[in-house]
Amino acid sequence: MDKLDGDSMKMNLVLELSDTPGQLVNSLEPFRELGANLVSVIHDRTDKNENGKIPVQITVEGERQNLEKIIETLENNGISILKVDGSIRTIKISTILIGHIIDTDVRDTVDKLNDLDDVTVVAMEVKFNNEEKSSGLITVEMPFGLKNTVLNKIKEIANSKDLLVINEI
Amino acid sequence: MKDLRLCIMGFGAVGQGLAKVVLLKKENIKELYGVELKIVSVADSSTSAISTDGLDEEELIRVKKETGKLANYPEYGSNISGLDVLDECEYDVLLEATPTNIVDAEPARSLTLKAFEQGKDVVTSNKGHLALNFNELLDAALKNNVIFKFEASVGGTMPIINLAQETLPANNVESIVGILNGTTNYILSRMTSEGTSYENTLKESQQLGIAETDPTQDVEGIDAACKTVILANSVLGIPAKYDDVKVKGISDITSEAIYLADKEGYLIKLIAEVSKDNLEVSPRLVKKGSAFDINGTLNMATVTTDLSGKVTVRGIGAGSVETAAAMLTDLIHIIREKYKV
Repeated sequence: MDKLDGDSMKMNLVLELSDTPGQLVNSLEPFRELGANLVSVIHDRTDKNENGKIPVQITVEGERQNLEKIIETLENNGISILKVDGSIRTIKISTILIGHIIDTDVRDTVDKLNDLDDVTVVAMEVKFNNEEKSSGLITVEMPFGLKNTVLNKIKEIANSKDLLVINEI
Repeated sequence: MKDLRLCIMGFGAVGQGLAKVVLLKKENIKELYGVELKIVSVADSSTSAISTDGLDEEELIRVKKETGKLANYPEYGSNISGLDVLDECEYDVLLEATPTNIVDAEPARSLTLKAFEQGKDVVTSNKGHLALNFNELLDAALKNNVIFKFEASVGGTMPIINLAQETLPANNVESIVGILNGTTNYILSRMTSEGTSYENTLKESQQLGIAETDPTQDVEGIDAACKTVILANSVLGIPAKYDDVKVKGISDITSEAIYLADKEGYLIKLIAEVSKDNLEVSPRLVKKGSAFDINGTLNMATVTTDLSGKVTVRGIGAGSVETAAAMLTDLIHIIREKYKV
């Protein structure tokens, strides 16, 4: 955030909205409520992301506290924020795998995910029971926009190794 | 006062529940709608009880419970069964509660089509014929100008089909995501609270009568997949068939997986997802404290709409009186449409 007079700041955001009527207006509501001034809004319906959603670039001016509140409110309203001031927002997702996790080369499973650009496996925990089958929890960190790509990759790996995959809803 | 003559096909838990709710509510219905409910014929798998003057609800339940066969109903018991029952006695509405058959949908399919041909309205709790022959049944109902209602087929007493069709008709429904099978939800809830294995928890559920002796339809996700097909067709207008649903049940879920999920603030639930892009029944991670965090045999569903956002319902997903209550609601819909004085 760029510092302006007093405690006022400027912030650049990239949101992601679905292409349905009212989405843009709804997403701007928290800015009005928290008394932040919109400097610019760039919204081009013809420029869609891979997931069919529209990126919206917003520059806003306001008090630091209020700007932070806006981010919180937007996320609570289920609006994806891809970038804040140029840095990519990341999310973590957890997935459970059940099957012969170790025997099917657990290292290879992790590598295949890490090979995706900007995707990192940040945690993995495997538990065994008396049988050969094990259960593993994988936590992966990625840029917001890549969630579906990662989920599909996990499914693809699981299918090829005959593992049951339990993804987040 | 107008009589409304009811034929009940199938006299297991749901059929007997119907006799109970008719007994409990017929005075109310008489007062509200000026219609007198009269059960004129009831059939179990091989016998029946038939009387144009109406049968006694309590006596039907007593005879079935004590002797196992409706043929033993005093004076009006008989060995007439199946489709013949529909010819034997004049009726106005068929309440079809035979067991779900996911192989060839019988006897529900034939009974329903025959009733339509006779110009009768039908209320059903059955899933088999809806999952396998949805279009055939809807077309036949339309052709014969009769009403066909099936709220009880999905989510037991929890309103979902009528909710979407009758209560939210201003909306386009974009998706329905929910827990549509009480047995598996019970098993997964117990595995979570007790830390027990799948096998032991299934056994316990069978002893309690929550899981069937052959639990395949529930635990392998078949029951939830049937409901997915019904919702896809009836609410989202997707001409889906059973084979279009990706189905994975819960029999491979380990207590270790549930433990790992729990540690991260998740629960494992058997989730049905109904949308244009995805028809799927599979175990999924859901956040603790979310709408999907329901215990025991409860069902829930979140309907995502274009105008109203998300609407979530939950309720008892099975049970004798509860399922019968959903059928009585459908029957009252028919009364309001056609019979109200």
